[in-house]
Amino acid sequence: MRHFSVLASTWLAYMRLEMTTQTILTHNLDYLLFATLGVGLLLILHVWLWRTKRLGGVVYLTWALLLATLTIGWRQVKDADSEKRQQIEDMVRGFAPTYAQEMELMGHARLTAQTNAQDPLYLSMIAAEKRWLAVNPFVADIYTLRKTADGKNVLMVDSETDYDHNGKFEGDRESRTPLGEVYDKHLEALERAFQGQADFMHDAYTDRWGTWVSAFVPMHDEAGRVEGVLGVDYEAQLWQEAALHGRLEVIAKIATICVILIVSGVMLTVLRHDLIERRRAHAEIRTLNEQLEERVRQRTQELERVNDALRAEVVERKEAEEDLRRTNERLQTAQASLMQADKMETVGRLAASVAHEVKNPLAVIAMGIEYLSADYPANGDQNVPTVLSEMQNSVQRADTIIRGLLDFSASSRWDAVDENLNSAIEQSLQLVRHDLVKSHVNVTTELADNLPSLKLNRGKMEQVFINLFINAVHAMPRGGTLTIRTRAQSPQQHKGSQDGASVVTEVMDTGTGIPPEALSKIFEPFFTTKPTGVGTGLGLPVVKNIIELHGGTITMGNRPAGGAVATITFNLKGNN
Amino acid sequence: MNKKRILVVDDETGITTMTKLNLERTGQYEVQVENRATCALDAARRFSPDLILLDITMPEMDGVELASQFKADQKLKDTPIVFLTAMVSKYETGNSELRRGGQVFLSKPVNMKTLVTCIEQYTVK
Repeated sequence: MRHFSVLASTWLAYMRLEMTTQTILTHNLDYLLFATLGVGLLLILHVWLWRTKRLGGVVYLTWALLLATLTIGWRQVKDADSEKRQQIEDMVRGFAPTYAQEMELMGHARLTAQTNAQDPLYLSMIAAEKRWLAVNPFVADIYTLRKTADGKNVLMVDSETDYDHNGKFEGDRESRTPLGEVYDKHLEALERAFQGQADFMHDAYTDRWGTWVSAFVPMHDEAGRVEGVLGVDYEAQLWQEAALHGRLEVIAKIATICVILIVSGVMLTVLRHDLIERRRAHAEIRTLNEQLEERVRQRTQELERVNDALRAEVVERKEAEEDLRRTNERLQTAQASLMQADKMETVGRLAASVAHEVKNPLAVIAMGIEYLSADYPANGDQNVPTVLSEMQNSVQRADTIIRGLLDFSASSRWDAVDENLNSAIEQSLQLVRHDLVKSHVNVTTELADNLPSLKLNRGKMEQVFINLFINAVHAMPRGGTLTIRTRAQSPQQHKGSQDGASVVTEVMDTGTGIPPEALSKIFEPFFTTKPTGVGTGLGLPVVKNIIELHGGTITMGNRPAGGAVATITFNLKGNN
Repeated sequence: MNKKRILVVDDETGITTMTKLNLERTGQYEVQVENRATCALDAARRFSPDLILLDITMPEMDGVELASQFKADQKLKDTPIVFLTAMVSKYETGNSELRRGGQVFLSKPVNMKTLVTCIEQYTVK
């Protein structure tokens, strides 16, 4: 409130300089200025908010509230103005009748324009006025007026007045007014008082003593006629300032409300905007975050896909490498087989021509020996039959070797068709039946029914089995058992191999078995364990050759129970 | 009893001579020999054999072709032919592939017992 007072005083000082208080009050300039300032402030803030793009509904609400407040304030300020004036008026108007009555009692009616300035009645009235003024500092002056017969207003009792309250009556202004001085100021309220009606002069007026607002009360003589008027002056300046103070108090209150309104409105707008901004930023961050996460997820998925593809590629490549390796192996095998076949072809052609050339002379010799044997006279040389027999054996031996050579050489050219291995085995057994019976060899066959067909050259396979059977017979000179077993083997049973199903044939005997040192050389051409003249050393090489050309393998071994076993394996895949 | 007529065709004179000697000594056969394949067909027509022993590997014409000529001949088409060859081993004579066409193979050298058994088997009337 102190600050407000300082502010108000400053404002008032300014007002005094520029215009009279009356003007301010008449046109409500103070309030208009305040309202302009309030609106201006909000306008500036409005523009600021608009420029910073923070304008919102709250600002318009603030506008509405401000205008409402200012409208209400208008009324309030006006009321404050009249209220203050009324208080002063009431006070001034309250004093006046009391003093008027006092003057009447003192005998004011007896005074005339000619009354001496030293008249005791007059002086007593002067004294009374001075006493009244001394006890009532709010009142500027108390005086009486009378209307002369020519209608002029003259001052009657008007004591010295200490306007500035410094305890001294200084100068013409503060000195006693002479009795009967004409007061030529025409005042409506004064005239009404002369007509018997007390009145208050609201509008400030100026005379030679100053500017005032005044209350006028009629004074009556004993006959009840209006003989004069008592005037009570009040400093117009104070009266106006009081009104202004009242207004300013109200304006201050309204200003406080307006400031709170504007500040809170703007702050609310700013905060709300910040909040919205923050929310928006938050939402944006969240969106960005989600996008980022989505991108990360997508990228991860992509990576996984690429990874899978790479893994698949690696597997594929490994498979391809494995395929390549297998193909290479097959190629090498095929190449080796080709080279072997080529070699065999050459050897075979040579052997065939040699055999043919040798066989005919051998045949002639053999038939010659037979002829001689049949015709030989019983009475001749005792040794001739022995000689002929030896010759026949030798021819036989030569024939066997040549036959072996022919077999070995003839294995390179033939066609293969779908054949059942079992029937080849049975046919071969049929062909060696005579040898088996002669050597007391029993035959056991365990041939599987479900054997898949193989691409075979029937004749060559029979040759293989005949060779193996004859070997078995030779291994059992005192008889025994020859067992032939066939079976289809599924891939699972075929350990460590990926080549699929196969057909396995085992030829077993109960003979002498194969000496361990011979096992490694058993398939070499011209290697034989048989007595000279019995084996050619070509039987097993021929067998191995034929089987390998069919895409199969053969191994020879000894059985734990005694005797030898030949195991032939045809891979279904390799065989095709 | 009429002797069975056997025609032996082989370019080797040693073979034909020894076969003829061995067979005729049994007293059961009348044997004619022919060393040139190109003359064999005429010889066979003239001789009308009960069985022909035929070599396969001959310089002018091989036995297989000659056999087909015999089979094509009206007079000789039913005459059994036994191949005597140095090209096959003992077990191949029973070989299924070589048995095709109802032909019989005997591997040289062949002993007389086998030969006679074979001739008897195919000349049964």
